[in-house]
Amino acid sequence: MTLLLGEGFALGLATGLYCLGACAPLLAPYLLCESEGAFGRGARLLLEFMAGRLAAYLLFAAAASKLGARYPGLAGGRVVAAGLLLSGLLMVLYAVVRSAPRLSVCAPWADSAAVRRLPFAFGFLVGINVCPPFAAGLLRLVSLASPAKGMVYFAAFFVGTTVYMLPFLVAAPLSRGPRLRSAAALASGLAGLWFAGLGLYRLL
Amino acid sequence: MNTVLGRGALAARGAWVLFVGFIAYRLARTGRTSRWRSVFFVAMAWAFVFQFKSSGSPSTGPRALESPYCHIAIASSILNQAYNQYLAFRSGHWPAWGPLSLGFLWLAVTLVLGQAWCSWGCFYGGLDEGFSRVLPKALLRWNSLPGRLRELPAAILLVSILFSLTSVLPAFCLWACPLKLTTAFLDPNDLTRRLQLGLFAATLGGAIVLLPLLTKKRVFCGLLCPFGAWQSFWGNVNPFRVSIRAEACTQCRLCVKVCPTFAIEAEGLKEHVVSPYCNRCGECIDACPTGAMGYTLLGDKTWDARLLLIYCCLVVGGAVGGMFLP
Ligand code: SF4
Ligand code: SF4
Repeated sequence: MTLLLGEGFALGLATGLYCLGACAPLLAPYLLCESEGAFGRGARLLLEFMAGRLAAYLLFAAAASKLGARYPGLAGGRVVAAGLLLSGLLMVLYAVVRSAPRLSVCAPWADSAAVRRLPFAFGFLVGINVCPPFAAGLLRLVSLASPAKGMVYFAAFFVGTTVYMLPFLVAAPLSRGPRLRSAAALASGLAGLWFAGLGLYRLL
Repeated sequence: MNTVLGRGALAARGAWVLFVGFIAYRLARTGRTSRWRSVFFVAMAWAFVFQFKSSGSPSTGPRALESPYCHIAIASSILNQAYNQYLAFRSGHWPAWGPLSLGFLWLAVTLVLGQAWCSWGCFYGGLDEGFSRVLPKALLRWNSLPGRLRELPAAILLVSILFSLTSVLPAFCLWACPLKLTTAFLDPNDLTRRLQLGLFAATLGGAIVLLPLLTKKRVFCGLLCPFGAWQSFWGNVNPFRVSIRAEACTQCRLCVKVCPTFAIEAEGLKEHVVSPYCNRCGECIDACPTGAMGYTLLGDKTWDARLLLIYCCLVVGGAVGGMFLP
């Protein structure tokens, strides 16, 4: 088990820069917009995002160890593309709600629990997008063929990659000014359009 | 390296110096800023376009992606540039320090001009400025932006920086640069290429030609340019400002109407504040019927900084324009 933990952690450490790249367009604008210049609030949002990512990893690990051998196309297929599309659409909706909070369709959402829980949802959806290190981990899962071992392996992988997420915390103090916050909300929408387009393209 | 200039090149430089001198004379003589600034600015932009397209400069393909030399590309992929500098530093490969030297150049220009770069020195800005001046009156009225869109250039800057970082390629260059439209791509004409070409065409046709022509607004500079946003964050290190004297302002809103980059908002005007996107073009100063607006140093309204600003701008802009001579 220790060996498995070490292997997952090492894979995470070695490839975490990719994870940083995959999360940056989504996470950085969100943290800039929502941290309100407070480091603690930024850290809490980052933790929620990471929790979503961990949940996705564990779920995927369990599913892949069980089903991976039978359905090898699962990881690269429609689930991932749908995740991309969904995260893109969520970001666009988020950007609309934040950029035009006084519009009658946006007003009920501006302070809603759904919007407050977005970091977890974003984390989850990003977590099921298959980036190269994640795919490498999945291959290993198939060979493990045990959901419990798979979850341990991916939990360690998650910890390894988390090291690379910490720089996002600098976004929190940067977001003090209203200019950067409104730019970040619009940036979420632009990045969301890109992700949604990419997801749709892969689905079709 | 051949450093001796031929006769033709010398004549071109002489003509350019005379041209800049003539502009300086007209600016001083008329007491108005925007018209003659515009002549200078548009001439410089077209000189750049001819030089760029005739020299076969790499605008796509591996060479261009290694070290984009244009300020818009560098700002919108700044983290990649910083990373390259780090690698160059580690390897002791000094020739790779080129982008860093450009960084020093940018700092110098920003200290001297600040945001005024966007109306006096930028070799792209003159293109939409030129089209915005073709018709005497706007065919479509577009005086202000919804407040929430004011930061769209900053959003584009942020997204470009992040996507450039993740793809290790200058994202803005590859997806929105209007000057790429006439450039051949080396790789196959797949869907991605067609999308890129479509976006290039939309930026060029829509934001640089059509909308400026119809609305008299500099739509690319005011709404899309990531470098404009970049300068709007850093431009305040330079002391020149456009200020409004509250006691002389009648709130007629003429300045809001004529500002080509949407830099005066109705809300800001009530407080007599001009937004950080103001690029010191002088259009509002020339239009203000009560003389309430003017160039100042750090907002000190007791001293008119116009001639000092013009001097700085023509020296820097003249030097930049000189690079595009045959
Ligand atoms: S044009 Fe002059 S007087 Fe009119 S609102 Fe603007 S600053 Fe005030
Ligand atoms: S505020 Fe005045 S000087 Fe500034 S960009 Fe607008 S018109 Fe030009």
